[in-house]
Amino acid sequence: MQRRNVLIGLALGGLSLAGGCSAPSRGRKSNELRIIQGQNLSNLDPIFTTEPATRDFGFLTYDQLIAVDEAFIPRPQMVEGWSIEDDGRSYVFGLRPGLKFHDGEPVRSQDCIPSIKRWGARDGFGQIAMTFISDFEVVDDNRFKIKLKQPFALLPDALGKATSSECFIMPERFAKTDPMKPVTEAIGSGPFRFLKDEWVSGSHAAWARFDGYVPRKEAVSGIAGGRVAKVARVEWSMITDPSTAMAALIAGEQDYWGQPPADLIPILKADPNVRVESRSTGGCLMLQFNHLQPPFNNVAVRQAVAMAVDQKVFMKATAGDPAFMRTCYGVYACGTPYASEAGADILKVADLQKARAQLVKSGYAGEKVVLLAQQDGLLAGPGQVAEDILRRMGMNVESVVLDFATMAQRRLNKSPTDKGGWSAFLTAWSGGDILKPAVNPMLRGAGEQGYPGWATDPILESLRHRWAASIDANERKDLAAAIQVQALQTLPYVPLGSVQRASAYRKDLTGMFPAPVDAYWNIGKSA
Amino acid sequence: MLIRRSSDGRLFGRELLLGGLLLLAMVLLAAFAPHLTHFDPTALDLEARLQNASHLHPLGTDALGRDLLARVLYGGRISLGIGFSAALLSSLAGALIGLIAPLNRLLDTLLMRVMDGIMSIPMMLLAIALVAVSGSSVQNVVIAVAIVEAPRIARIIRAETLSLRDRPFIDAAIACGSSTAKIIFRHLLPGVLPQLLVQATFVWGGAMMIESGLSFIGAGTPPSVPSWGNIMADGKVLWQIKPSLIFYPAGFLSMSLLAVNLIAEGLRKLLSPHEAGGR
Amino acid sequence: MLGYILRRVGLAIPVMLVVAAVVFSLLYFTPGDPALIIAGDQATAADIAKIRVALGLNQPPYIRFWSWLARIAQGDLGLSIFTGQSVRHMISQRLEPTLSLLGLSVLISVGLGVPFGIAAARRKGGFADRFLTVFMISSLSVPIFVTGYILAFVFASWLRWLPVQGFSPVEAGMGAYLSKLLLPASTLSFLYAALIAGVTRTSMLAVLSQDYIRTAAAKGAGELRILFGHALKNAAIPIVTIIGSGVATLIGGAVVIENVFAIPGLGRLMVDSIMHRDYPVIQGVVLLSSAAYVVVNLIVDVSYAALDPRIRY
Repeated sequence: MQRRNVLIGLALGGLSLAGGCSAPSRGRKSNELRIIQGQNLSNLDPIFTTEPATRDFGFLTYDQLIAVDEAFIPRPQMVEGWSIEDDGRSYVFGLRPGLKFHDGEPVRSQDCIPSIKRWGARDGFGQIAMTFISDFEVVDDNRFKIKLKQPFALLPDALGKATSSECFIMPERFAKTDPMKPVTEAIGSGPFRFLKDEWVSGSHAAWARFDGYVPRKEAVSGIAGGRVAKVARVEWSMITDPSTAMAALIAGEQDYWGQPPADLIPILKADPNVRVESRSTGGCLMLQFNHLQPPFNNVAVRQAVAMAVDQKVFMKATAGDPAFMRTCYGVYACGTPYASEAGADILKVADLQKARAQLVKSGYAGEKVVLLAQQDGLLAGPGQVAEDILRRMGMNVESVVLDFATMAQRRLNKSPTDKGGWSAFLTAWSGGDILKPAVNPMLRGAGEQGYPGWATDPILESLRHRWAASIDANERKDLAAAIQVQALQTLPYVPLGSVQRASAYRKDLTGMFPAPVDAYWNIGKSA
Repeated sequence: MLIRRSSDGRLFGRELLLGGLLLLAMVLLAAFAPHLTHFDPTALDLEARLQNASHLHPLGTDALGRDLLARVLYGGRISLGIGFSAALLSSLAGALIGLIAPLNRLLDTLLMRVMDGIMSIPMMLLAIALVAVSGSSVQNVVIAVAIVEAPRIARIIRAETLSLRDRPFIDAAIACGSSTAKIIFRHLLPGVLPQLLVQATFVWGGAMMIESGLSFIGAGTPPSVPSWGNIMADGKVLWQIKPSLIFYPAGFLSMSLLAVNLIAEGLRKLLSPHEAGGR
Repeated sequence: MLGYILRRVGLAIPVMLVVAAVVFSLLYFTPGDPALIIAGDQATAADIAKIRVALGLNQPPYIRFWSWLARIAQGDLGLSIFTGQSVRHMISQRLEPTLSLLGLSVLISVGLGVPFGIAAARRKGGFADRFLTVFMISSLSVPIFVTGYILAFVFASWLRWLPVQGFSPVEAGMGAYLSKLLLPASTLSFLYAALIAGVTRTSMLAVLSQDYIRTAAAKGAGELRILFGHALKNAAIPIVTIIGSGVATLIGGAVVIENVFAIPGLGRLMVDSIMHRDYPVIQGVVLLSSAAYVVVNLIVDVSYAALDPRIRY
């Protein structure tokens, strides 16, 4: 009836008015960086876990003593510099003046040393470093000394690495936490202060600029240089549905998307307000095995899988621009100094028949293979390809689809598959992560002390140690090749190829720079 | 017989006809899937990703090169199958509970309280929780949905049983000395069967809806088993560049739901014409 | 009246106990060992044994159930396996978005559904009636997330009238709050409003054919007065019933919609917890939602007494 119709009309008019009015306000937020996070921030301890979300959290909240630049050369960050004494057996570090934690306390040597120790207990490169370190000594509040058993030229590289786990400096009381238990507080000395009471795990997280931060004066290069906070606030939104995330970026509700799915890149490129470019050197995909449980505790079975893998198929499954994909038959990132194809024949077989024959020869008796795969993101397609290949080889496969954070937790389980364990999972590391034997966390044979997968390979470990101890660059190159040959025989994991990822962000963002991680300093918004 | 005109001239039973034909079409498509397409719905072909409709692929391919028509047809087997099995299972369970509850006052109170309790948990949440704890498989989805839908059927069958119990033919059966079991299965069961059929058909639709929701959020059938909900979940990333990945399975699902709901509605009108608002 | 209310509350208690029992037993459906799951993957055998004692897993089921129930009654919903935070804290963080979404959906659905149903009942076979039939059929047949995507595409991506995703708390401004909730709430309302409108139509039709309505019309009462003054009140009971029982459908739909529109509510928490196998959180959310649903139905029951003075049992 008329009266009701008039009321309805008024209501609709009011609603559209409200909609129209709010449209500009949801756009701009000029001093806030709004980031679409694909992965959940569930853990606040970048030493305890290598999850990318926690790593990015670490870079915002904490600071490092040393940081590597674009060429992966270590540069001073929190330190003024370091001096080497005693024929290379002693390093003295001096902290920059004015460094403070978010609670106002100054950063002292007494904070740095336990932080380094804790990091050294967990991280691969850190563990290597600790085998060389004989002692730490506090010289005074601003200076400390690291004493070595023998010269270790890579100490600054270790302390300054860009890849998980980085050596972040925490206050003494947190740094003294047992390395096997996560730190749950977030007091760092980084350019941004974590707003813990705004954090809703699985949903959003926020940081405010830390005014007490003293950035370096140099320009940014890699993760080195001045870490200037150019926005007052950083906000992460966990948007799991990629089409929603894309719509949000295009509508201006979000500013930055680190890892959009490759299929959506063309649409993002076509939008006049969005820029698409690669910040990092690309990711290398890997299939990691559980060496503690059957069937992959048998090297012959692992070799069968390597023979079945066709890198080109895996690359296609990541759905990217073919120009961004490359096969990489080696354990080091292609295009980096140590890359080669030494010993890589097994990776080029790509023949299902031969793989099946090898599997039969290995004595595989139908043991269940639990494959941890991901639902969304770069690894979703490859996960389905992996399941398909393993099944067609004749293995008894169950694919468990999880998000990365859950998988990161699940992969810590060492039990058999019928008790919640796993047999294999897929992961990706950025090029910077795996260009050297020391930093590649999966190139280990340290058994249960090492990265999940727990491959035991004493030869690999000793080669790694010799590489780290070597002071001759040529010798290091030979050793790296030897490591690859060994690794491709015992197969701690199978490389699946490398893929460049592009990031998408609104054109009004300034100061974007190439970096091996999603670093958010130096990035501001034009007015 | 099924189609007749009611007092004000409206065609009665047209829902049954329409729904029946539609459902038949869906079931035939699913059943004859191997003849309608030679593709394996799980066969990956990375060379042929995201292709448009063509001679080879009548509906195109998805993000991993799988033929969409094959996936939708075989997916129909799973979705329709899960719906049917869940409806069957919950009907059996619900009927059993509904028929024996009125036997004994205490039993009745106990059973109905449990049914009320289960009904108080929002269906989707309970289904999600059940699949979460028991793992993702076709079997577990069927069981979860059956558990979620059974209480409603139990209540309705119980009400029917109670009303039938007072009828003379039951008194006669008791007088003849029939055992309780015989009364239940030989006399009461046929009496509640019409209502059971109506409810079971509604549950078929509800089950398919729940399954699609479960698969969509990742708590339904495993990725290697295509179901309509599953296919939509795979396609949701790309739906802005290739909406067909969502719309074809959604279309088939909607047609099936429509069919089942029409049949259920038609059956309901057939069996209780006086409830249809005075028509 | 008070006695009636107390009796209804009393009847709700055994129902809640059954709900609690179902939720409690969920953990025991799992193929794994609950202690292992809760201990996490880093635990040693000693840790697991400690947890087993702490959880009372070595005790008979009814004692376990009782102590679990006692803890729940004190408000202790346990700790999340995944984040280590208290389940109660995690739920309270997500409450506002979900309640806002549900609240707005109820408002929209009732506000549109009831008048629509009345309009359909007014003229049998008229435009509103036929449109309602089509609307009901389509809402029952189209999966809710498909509706969501379509609405999002049309109103957010294409027309740019409304935001795509997210949630803005009330404190940050009514405009943003409402505009972000409008699309998701409308999607949910699709189904709910159809249900309400359908029942309203059926109920109104049944009432409108009664003698007293004809008497009122014969006495010269205007149409509005008949519809709202006489018919609606008498037709109200089934309508209120469906509004109550439809809340369960709303909650179920919210789980899916919160994912599509990236709303940080309980639905998203539920979905995330499945992947994490975070059983304490799953139990907490299911328990809370069921309790809310029971309360809603209780309110509906009590409203019967208010609407129909004959009801006093």
